[in-house]
Amino acid sequence: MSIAIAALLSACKVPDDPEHTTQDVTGSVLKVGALTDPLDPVEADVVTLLAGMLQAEPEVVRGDPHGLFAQLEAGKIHVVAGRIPSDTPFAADVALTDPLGQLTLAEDTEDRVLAIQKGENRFLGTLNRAIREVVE
Amino acid sequence: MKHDIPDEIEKKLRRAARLEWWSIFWLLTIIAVMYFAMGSSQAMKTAWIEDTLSLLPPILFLLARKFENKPATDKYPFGFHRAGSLGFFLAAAALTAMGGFLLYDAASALILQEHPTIGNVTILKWDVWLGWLMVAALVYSVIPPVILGRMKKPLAHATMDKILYTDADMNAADWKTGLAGIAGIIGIGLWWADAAAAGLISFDILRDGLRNLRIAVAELLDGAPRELDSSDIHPIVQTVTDKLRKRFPGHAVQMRETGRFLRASVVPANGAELDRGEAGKLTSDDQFWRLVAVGRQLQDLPEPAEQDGSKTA
Repeated sequence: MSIAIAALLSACKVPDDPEHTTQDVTGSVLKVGALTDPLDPVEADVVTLLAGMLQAEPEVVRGDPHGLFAQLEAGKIHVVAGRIPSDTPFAADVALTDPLGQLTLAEDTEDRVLAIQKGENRFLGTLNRAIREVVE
Repeated sequence: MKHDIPDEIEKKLRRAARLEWWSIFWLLTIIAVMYFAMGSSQAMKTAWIEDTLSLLPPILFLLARKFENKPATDKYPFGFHRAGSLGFFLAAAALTAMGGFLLYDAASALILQEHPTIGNVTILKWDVWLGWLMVAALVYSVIPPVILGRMKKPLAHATMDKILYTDADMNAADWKTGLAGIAGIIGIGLWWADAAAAGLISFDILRDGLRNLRIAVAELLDGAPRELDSSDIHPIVQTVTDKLRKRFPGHAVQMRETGRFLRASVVPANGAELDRGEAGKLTSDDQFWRLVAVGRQLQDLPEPAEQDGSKTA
């Protein structure tokens, strides 16, 4: 019963970001880890739109894939972009967005996605809305 | 080996069977709803597996009921009362597995310190967080078991049906895991609180499962009849043993359980094992060691002895 009451009390700010990504980015800086230089147009558009939705200034961070994903997991950057397929081996450690279209790697065609920190569900919702606006 | 079950008990058993058919119907709808809501959420997958597992006790109850009153055959000369014992063991194992699943899930959530990632979908132009759909499915999955479980417990007590009793425990576990799932999706504040809540619930379910499993193992090993809700020996054993000892001075009484029924054997106090020589007269030489006892069933019991001289253990 106490669980149910606690759940109801916390329901007013659900879905939430346990690591407060939305709160940190809003009105501040959106740090984007870029795996390609430059980002493909669809990815750049989504990042710009997301930054606009959160009144944030986008800041691109470049680096090697393992470095960027490690920073993402640690919460040092907010999004990783750059031709990430939905079956990326990093999928176990990060959360992936809805598809931004398709991507051909060697002979396989996969959904193109962005990566964010796991469990940041409010931020994921905002980002997915930005993706939908750009893609549709 | 057909036994006349009193009308009153038979009526309750029929009512229990109807409840079990309803359980299966509701569980199937729950399993379908949960399947469509679960997406890639690990917590939902666990809840779904648990709902699927809880189909087992109702099915076992109906099967055991179908078999237990079948007449004895050449292949099953003792009849099928023990179908109930076997069903009870499997149901108890399912309940234990359910507790184990939830414990594993809670422990890995605590160790990984992760919140489930749940995205959103567009339904009829509305942006809906999938978590809300999952919570709705979980709330739906909680309601029928609560009601059915409460209706099953008194019937299980009245009919001494251990599968039904385990099923009622399973229903109680269903709604507890449903609440744990909701807590895990919404998050109840501190990061460890959801996993800790699920962990506590899993211990509760595991305890019920292991207790039932202990009783079931005792039954399969010809242990003395146990109480429905604990592994203590049922008081009826003492009553029947005392009375039989008065009728058979110098004898010991062994009691065991076959499904919901009880069997008592009166054996010589100084050992009931068949003499090897006697066994040899009955069977071939290389098999005689396997024949350890010969029993005789009684329909009429002798009058109690005047003197109560059988206080031997």
